[in-house]
Amino acid sequence: MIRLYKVTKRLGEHKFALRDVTLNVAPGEFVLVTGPTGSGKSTLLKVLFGDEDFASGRGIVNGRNLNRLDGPGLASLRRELGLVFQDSRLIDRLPIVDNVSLAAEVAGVPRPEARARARRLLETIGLGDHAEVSPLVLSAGERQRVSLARALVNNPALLLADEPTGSLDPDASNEILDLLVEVNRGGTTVVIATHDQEALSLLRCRTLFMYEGRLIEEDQSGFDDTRIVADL
Amino acid sequence: MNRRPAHGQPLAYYLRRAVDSILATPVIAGVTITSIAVSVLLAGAVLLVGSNAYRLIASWGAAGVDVSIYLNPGVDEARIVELKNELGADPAVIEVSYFSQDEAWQLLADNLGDSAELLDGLDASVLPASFEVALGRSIEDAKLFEMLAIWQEIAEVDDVQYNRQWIDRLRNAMGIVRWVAWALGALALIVSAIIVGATFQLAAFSRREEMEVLRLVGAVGAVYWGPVLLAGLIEGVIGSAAAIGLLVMIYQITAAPIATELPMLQGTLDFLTVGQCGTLILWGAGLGVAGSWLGMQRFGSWR
Repeated sequence: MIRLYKVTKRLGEHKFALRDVTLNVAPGEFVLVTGPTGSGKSTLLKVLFGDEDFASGRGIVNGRNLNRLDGPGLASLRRELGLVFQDSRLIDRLPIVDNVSLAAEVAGVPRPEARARARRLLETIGLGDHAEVSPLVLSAGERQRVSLARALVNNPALLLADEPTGSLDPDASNEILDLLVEVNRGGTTVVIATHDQEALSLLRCRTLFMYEGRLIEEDQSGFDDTRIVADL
Repeated sequence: MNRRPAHGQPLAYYLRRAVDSILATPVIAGVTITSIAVSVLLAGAVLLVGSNAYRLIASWGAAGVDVSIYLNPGVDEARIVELKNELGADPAVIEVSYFSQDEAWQLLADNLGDSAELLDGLDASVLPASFEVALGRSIEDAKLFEMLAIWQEIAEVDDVQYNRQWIDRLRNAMGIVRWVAWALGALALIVSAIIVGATFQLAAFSRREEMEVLRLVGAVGAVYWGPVLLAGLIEGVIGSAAAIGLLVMIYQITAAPIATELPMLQGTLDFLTVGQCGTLILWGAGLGVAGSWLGMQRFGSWR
């Protein structure tokens, strides 16, 4: 599903956002990426959905070569992925059903079908009764659930979530994590960047550490994990 | 999965999203439409005044040359008949009319209309009798000047004046007016470009979060830009239509009094043609589309 080989992105002459990041994620995996603020977690996810380019290395996501993506190719990749962000990124002037269906419409799904699909997803996440309301009246947790529904509306093979519980209280955070686990059980590959300690303790899954742009697998030796943990 | 290519959205998608975005930010849309309306109104006003001025000049140019031959006082009737026959003998002359002092006085009083009281205390003797000679429009300047010189030498003639001289001067003046109009038009264009540009940046700024969402869900090409450009086009058409409506109102309010005050304009004043109105609508629509495009270049950069 994801294959990165020695991906490097520089911030300056001696500073790296990503440094020789090599990563393989198989279809159906549930992966947490953690690390201190500024360690490169968000940059890694942005590279995966083509929001950031990189100086060297090679990358393939969902069968698409990141090194050769032009504008339309990049857009196609994004239509195949589901993206969730810490700040939900909903369009407040649209009812939540349209926020969700918009992603399907952009992918070419006819509007009636897109709205029907959006309504089904909203039912699934417990917001069926709020389909026609503005996101402005929702709580942070509800907004994030809508964001998740939007990410799922095109049945993505891969869902990328950048700090999806970052601005939520523990209950809302648990709801989102439960939903993400459900999504993964349905066969969708899930990659979450987070430094949410509760998420890290609750989810028994493959966890990757990032530090100063480097990606270190949890079980890798030879690296000062205590320093990372201290920073966390 | 029933998917179409992302660029294959039905027109309803673009229309709905364009109209939605206009209605979602009514104040910004109102400011945008107003700025386009002001721009089109300026352009329309320059076009309206310019086209009427040219129509007037053209109507004058289309007429023949009229020569006024003013006589010294005391020319007897027999000599007047002789002179009229002499003047009319030239094949270039189409018509010769004689105006006595009393007739000239009456003509002046008629032309002054409500202001005829200005003549109170004066009498007909202040105006000279004259021959009004109509020449064909095709007469060449050399022939005209030759005839004028001959007529000026007639003993009973005090002065000779002709309208081509006046038209030539007017044409020269209109040349200057035309450049002034172009300069004003260019100034209006620059001012409106600045206003419209700033307004559309504001509009683009208000849409930036929506554009960010669209970008992240994979909108590209027409799906990404289309609704924004269409919204600009709709705002441009509405703004320019409003400007033309306002111009019609201003024209209807001002044209009749102007024609009354300046009788020479009667029959030549007219509003813009359908083609000119269409051009103004296109201008407004183009401003809307270009403004949206430039605004999004700043706030809607795509990757």
